[in-house]
Amino acid sequence: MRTITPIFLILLIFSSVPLKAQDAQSAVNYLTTIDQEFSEITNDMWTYIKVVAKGKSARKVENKRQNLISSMNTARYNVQHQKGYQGDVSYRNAVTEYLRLNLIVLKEDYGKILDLEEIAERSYDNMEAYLLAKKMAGQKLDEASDFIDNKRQEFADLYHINLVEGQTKMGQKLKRASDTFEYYNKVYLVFFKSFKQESYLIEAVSKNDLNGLEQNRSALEAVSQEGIDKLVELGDYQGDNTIKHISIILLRFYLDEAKNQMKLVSDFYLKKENMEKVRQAYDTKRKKDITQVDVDNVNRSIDEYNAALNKYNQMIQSINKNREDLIEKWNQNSERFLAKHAV
Amino acid sequence: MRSLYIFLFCLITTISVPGKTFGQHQVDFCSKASSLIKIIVDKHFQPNINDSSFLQSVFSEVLLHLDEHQLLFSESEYQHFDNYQYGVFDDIFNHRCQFYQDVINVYRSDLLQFQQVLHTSETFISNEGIDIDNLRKTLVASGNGIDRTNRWLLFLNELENDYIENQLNPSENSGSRIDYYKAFFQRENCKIDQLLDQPDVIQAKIENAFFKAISSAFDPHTNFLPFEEFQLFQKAISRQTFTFGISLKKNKSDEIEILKVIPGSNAWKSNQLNKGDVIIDILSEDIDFQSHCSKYEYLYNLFLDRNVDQVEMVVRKSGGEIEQVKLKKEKLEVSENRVDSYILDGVQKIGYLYLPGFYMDLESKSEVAGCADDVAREIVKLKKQGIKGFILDLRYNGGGSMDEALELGGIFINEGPLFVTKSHNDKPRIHKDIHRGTIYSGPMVVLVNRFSASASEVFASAMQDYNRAIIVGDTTFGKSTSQLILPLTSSDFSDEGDISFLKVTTDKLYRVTGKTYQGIGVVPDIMLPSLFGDFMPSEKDYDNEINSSPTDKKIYYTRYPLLPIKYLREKNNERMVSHNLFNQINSINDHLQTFKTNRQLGLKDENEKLIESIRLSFKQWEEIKDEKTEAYLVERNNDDLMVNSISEQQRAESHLSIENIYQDKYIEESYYILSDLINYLNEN
Repeated sequence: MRTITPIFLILLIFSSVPLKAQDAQSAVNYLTTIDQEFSEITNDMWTYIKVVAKGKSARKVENKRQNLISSMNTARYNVQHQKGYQGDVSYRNAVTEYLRLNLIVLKEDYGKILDLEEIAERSYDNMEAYLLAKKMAGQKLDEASDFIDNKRQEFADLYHINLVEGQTKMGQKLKRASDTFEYYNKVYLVFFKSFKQESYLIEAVSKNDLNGLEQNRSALEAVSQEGIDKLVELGDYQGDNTIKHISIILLRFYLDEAKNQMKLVSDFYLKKENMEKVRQAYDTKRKKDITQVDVDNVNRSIDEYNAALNKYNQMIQSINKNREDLIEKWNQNSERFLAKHAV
Repeated sequence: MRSLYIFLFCLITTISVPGKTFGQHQVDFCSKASSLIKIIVDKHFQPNINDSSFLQSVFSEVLLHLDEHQLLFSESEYQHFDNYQYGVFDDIFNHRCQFYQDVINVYRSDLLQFQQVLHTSETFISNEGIDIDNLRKTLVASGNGIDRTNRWLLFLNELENDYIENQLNPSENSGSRIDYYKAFFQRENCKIDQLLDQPDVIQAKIENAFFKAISSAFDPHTNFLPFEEFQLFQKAISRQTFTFGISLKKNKSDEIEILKVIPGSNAWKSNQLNKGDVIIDILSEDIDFQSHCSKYEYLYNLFLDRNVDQVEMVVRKSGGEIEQVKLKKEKLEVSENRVDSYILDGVQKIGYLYLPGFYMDLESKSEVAGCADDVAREIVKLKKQGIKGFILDLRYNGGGSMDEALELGGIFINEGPLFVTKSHNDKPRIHKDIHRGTIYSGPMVVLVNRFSASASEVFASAMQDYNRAIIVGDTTFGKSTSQLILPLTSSDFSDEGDISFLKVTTDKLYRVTGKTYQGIGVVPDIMLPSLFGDFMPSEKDYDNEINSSPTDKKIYYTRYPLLPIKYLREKNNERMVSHNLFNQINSINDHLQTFKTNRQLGLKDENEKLIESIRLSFKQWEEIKDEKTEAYLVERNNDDLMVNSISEQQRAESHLSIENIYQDKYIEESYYILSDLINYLNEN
């Protein structure tokens, strides 16, 4: 299945510009020079957001991501090799560190900033570990962002620069995309948890693993119900409830699959086991001891097995079809949603 | 084949394995021994071979293995071997294994001398009894030594007691005293003759004794397993085994009797064999069955031999007629490793399941063919019948597969770690629930006793730490280590023919709290008295028990809400006040403790009175222990009724299990505790 994956990192450019410098035009120039290093990044970031939001191919998305990484690398190099302002390198260093963190997150090289072993041990599976790593890296980026804002203000105060609030057009576009993806990500993660949990359930079924099936069934039921509750609470996005609505429908499908449909698989396993045991008991009985009741029991166990098998097959066909339809709708809604709000 | 990491407790009773050698002694003892030690040191959690007490145990273990009743070796020989004990490992590594040859020589010479003792003793036995005094004088005069003679006379005394006991039981009547002793002496002579005639067999026996002693010196659970023992071990933790479909026993007349014909097996279907038939011969050009003096041991090993897949036997039926029966080996379920579930239907409907061991399917390519899968199936069936609580009985469950313990834990907790292992060189490793979700999330009791060990303890401790279940019963065994089974296929251990195996303690285990239960056991939330209580063996009784302290590894897990243990204990205490059986058990245990204390203080007279009261207590205990509970009806779950209807055997087994459940006061009390918990949860 292909879905539009969330963008967890949208680097926003500064929401202020250095305007007035009474006696320190050179300090303004210094800030502006550093700010300019972000222009290439923001362009590439915007292109990257567009291809993601429009559901372009994975190859194209990856291509744009690499472009972004490349421009971020260049910017970092350029900033790092700027001279300090009158020997003051604190702001330059803060920006360099900020870009370094962004690069790490963009490359998903989390091991450099997080204890991945600890994250793995706190997580149920790789998916959860990956999401937890993203979340923790995001927190680190937020801290770095606050830090750089403070450093910028400190620099401005020190050199008597007025920072005037106001964003460029590109800055506004990125902000809009960032807000949209923030909402989309919330919905996506709720959906993805059930989606992933269902894949474990299906894997257990393919291995005839009743233990795995039953556990994953209860887990799917729990995460889907939890997801529905979260989505109901979430509210709409600027009056648009399409993505939330289709997600709830999809989660209701998972919930029904877990609570009702997949029970038929367990039932089939038990009927199969029963038929085999009954057959074995019958075969090991001495011929002279066999009664009509025994024969009836064997036949009944076979009938029950066949009935369970039929129900099982019908159910699998039906849920496969429903799932396919719903995922397709989910994708269509996602694309429409992002096209409408993000780009 | 799945990895054989295990939590092993006591799986195999030692049987003598004659005649099997590995490598046919092409490689010398010293090389093999040093190779064995190197493998253990490499894998073992705590290979402290420089400890002097560690070395001390090797020789004494070897001598005990060769001479279980201490009838062969003299005092001076024990002293002689003492000289070797502290240098035994240096000697092995420096290829100076003179001690090995020395043991062989002394053993051979003592066997010859013991034959003389047997011969002399026979002349002092009449149908009236044994002329002990004159026998003693004659043996001492012939140079047998006072200590060794006295040990032999004590042994004869035990034999005599057995004989008298047999005489009192008409069904076990073994003829006149002279015949009884003659048969015994003949058997012993024959065994010694066979040993002396085959130098290879003596060498292999002593070699095995050394390898076992060296292995178990590292810790009580590291062990050398000759192939035959490995097969027994495999069977103990497997779901299926290749078998002829009959099990054997040695009757009082030293004949090989069929103890059980497994229903559904070829032996069963042939209709030619029945319980109580006696096997009198094996027809084969390659086998001279009659020449074996230990026919039972011989046949036992022949049946285990994986190269033997069919036999033709001559049996004597109970009516005396002689029949020839051909049997072929087939794959059958190990009935000891099967689980069935029951409903305890009273005020509350409670599911009950006894898990005998953490067995697995070693042959299956599927990853889902062990006990956890079986338990999962039974729970699904029980849930269909609307159980409100569940009792998992792990009493007498000595452990088994580590993977199965993990899978079983997962059935009852949503997600998270279940235990931690730490090997010699690696960092601690957290073992987490494999599947997110649960199959059963309702109120639960885990029933344990002193014989619940290893994997049982891992499971019970995890349930306790998560507040997932009430642990009821007696403190568990206290084995917090896991073992790895390795085939010995290095160049020193020839891989021609049957290979030997090494079971080595590789890991310490920790609870999810980071604590250990090594030597402590899992202490139940609600203790129920058990017969002999603290007199029963536990891990801490081993001289070379591995010490363990908590791990500082950070472990993340989410507990379930606290269980109302205090409330449940109070309710349990109210019932205990007037509980006949448990009070009787407490009384017996108290008496035994006083008896032990008196003995230590040398108060003989007091003890005589005590013995009488202990006898009386036991009698009273016997009278009430089988009383049936009226708290609930015991029923098989509905899904199994069809099978029960067809199979007489299954019906009989179910009936027996149901009767046992009715009589089991520990299950009854667990039922009450669970009912209290359900009521509490409903009200709060």
